[in-house]
Amino acid sequence: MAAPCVSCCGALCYRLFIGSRVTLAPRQGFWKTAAAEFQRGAGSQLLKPIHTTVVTTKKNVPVSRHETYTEEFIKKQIEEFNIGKRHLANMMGEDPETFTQEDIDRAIAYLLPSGLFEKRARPIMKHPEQIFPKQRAIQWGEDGRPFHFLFYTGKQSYYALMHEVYGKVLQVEKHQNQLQVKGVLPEKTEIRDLIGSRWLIKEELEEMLVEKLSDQDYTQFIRLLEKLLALQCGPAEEEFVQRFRRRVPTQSQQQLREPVQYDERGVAFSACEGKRKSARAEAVVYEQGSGRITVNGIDYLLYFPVLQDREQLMFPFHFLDRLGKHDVTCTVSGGGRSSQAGAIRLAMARALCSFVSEKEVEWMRQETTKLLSHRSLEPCWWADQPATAAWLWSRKNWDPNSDVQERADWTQADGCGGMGGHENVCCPQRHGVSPPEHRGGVVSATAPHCIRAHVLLISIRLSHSSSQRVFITTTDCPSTQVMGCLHIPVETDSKH
Amino acid sequence: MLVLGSRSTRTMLKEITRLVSMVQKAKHGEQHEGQHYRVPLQDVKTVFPHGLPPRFVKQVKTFGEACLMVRKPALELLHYLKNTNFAHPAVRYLLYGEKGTGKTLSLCHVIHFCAKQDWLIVHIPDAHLWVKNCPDLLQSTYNRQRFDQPLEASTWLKNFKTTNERFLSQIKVQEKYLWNKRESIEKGSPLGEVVEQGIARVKNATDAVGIVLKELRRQSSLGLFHLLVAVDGVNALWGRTTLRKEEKSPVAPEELALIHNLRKMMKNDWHGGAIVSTLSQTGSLFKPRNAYLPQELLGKEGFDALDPFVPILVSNYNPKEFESCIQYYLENSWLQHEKAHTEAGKKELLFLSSANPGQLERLCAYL
Repeated sequence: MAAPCVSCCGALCYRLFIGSRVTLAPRQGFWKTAAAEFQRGAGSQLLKPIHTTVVTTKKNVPVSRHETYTEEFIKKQIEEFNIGKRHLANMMGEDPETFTQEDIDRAIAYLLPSGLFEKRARPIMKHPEQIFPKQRAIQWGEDGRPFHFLFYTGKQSYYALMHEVYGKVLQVEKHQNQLQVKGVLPEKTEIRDLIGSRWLIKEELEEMLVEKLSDQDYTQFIRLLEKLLALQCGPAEEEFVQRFRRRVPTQSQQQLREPVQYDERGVAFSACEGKRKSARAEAVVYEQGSGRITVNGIDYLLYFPVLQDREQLMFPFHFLDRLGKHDVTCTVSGGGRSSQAGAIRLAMARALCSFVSEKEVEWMRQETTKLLSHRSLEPCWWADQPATAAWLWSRKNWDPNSDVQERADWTQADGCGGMGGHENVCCPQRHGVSPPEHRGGVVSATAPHCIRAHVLLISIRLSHSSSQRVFITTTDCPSTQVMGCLHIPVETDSKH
Repeated sequence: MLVLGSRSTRTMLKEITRLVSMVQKAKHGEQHEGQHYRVPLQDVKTVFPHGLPPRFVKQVKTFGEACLMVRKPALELLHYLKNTNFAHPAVRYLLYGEKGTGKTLSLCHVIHFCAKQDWLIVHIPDAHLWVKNCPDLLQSTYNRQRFDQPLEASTWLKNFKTTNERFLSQIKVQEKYLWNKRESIEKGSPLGEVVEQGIARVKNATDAVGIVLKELRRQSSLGLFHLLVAVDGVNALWGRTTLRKEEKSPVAPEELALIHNLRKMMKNDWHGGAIVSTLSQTGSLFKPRNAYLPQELLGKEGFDALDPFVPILVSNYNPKEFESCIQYYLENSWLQHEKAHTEAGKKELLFLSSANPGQLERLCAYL
């Protein structure tokens, strides 16, 4: 496992974490103690520490996720992390004492920029506790006696938690009874912000307790917490409960309402923009009107002769039941017929929000996913470049003795290029415009500005042609273009 | 709710929204605006053998009756026609408007009125059909420079005969016309013979058309009858054609004999009648889709040729007309959607069709 390691002050090299855990086993073969697994139901058998090596017989097989790490190992990692943090702060010219995790992330992103789309595959440097899964320390001492009093229940942390929560419930009830006896009515506490948060899910709870739970356990726990909340508990209990709630990202409050403007005649109108694919539209919706729509100065019946486009325009009004009540003037550019219609629709929907009450806006957003938001096509991230016609080699036409520049054994095939681009990952990596002389290799290098250049290597043959051409194509462009062409004079038979 | 009751209740409902037919047609007035009136199917066969738009023809077949809505542009035109002074040169009326607003049907309304008033109707259903998709172009025998279109001419002559049967025996030709060395038309013979000749001999059909038009023009000035020239898609006469000569050079409209004769008809150098025409972008060639004004569709040449004329704008439905149209569809059980009769449903239809009659008709076809 790569870890942030420290070297002397001069040369700093960081071995950085990669998201998936890679085995160190073939190199280090370290020992693990089987603390996490113990036999259930077999009585009180003492478990001897089992020493095993994690040696995988197959290559390139990731180590199973249940690998355990010793405490000393984790401690060592933490020390190394802290020292590494200080060195990093030094490098960046900041104060090591006040170097936070965000600063670390920024520094790493700056020093080791990566063009990878998968965020989890990028270099990260985080506290070992966040990287290594939580392990259970050894639960019993040298004499074999377990530390926790609930060890023999099997799920000690869970039951301890339940015990704690129930204790709190009893406490609160007792407190309330006392207050009632005294005659003091408990004050009504204001509604807590339960809307923006949710309970922990089962997996998160398991992670927190480092124990496996069953579904019934989980539901019982949540019920108990809800019971606690239902009784009006004090601030201390609230804080306790909040530990088990997580924030929910609230998207619904994000819709902005465009303010209504008034033009020179005093007529209320609202202007908004919308887009779809590459079409951009701006719509001005007037409050009083008779349902006329003008697009780029042309009546919408003439601009959109196709029924489908007009149905798109109808949708926002139809949804809010305001079909003949507004006049609209819009301008649109770019895209095709259908995307222009979609862009205008979005713009009109947004503009209509300002004439419509809050509740209706909410309802609009909930009923339709697309009415008020912009969606566009996700770019193809799984393939290096969009589909191109690959070159096919056929033995039938192959003449090993011929040295002709244009060889008959290489042909450009049409079939492979049709698919969305994911096939290129499997295809042999031949990119370029002319058939390669030899089966070349492709080298990809990441440049700081995330433009990857695939340089086609051509091994140079002695016998013919005074210069070889090297093609450079960019892969981040929508179409593979030949960016440039270097002429390399042939000198030796070496690979460049 | 749709009344799927007995026939009597259905007819009763129809009476409420509709103005019933022929006798009162001459008395169509302002108060009838927005209401439908029924054209008897017999009339449809005689007066409109080729005039109605195809979708309307299908609707007539489905509903079993032909109902036209009385609308303002048509009323205006009828008012002018009622007060025409036949001593003055023929006035040209031009119906123009956006696509699908009802120009052709207004024209048909006017034609029906005039037919009932015993006018002679010269109705060219779509002039665009004469400037495109003609595989057979013959060089005209009458004038070497021009081209004949036998098929189109003969079809038109057949329909003309259906419409104006009773006039054909009354009108006499005032000149002698030679078809070829052996055949000729004597002076004083009825016009019906010319028409027969054109239908029988397809090669001479175009010339027959030319003769008919010339004679009618001449004789309406004499006051024997009132002549109504109704042309749909008049912008075809001054536009471009997609026809090509054998050496692949394009044919100009003037080089087509039919168009040439029709242009002469459109000139207001005769009197005793009126010329009503419609602009149409739908069948037009080389014109942008959103063009609807006379200046755009006719071009400079056409505008000058038609100038002076009375333009009449045909626009989308107003709320009353829209409501009436929806009611008509509901009564004929055309709208089967359960929300079609509710206010919300009507609002939706109004929005989606933007009160355009053509769009509304297409929309209701799905419901």
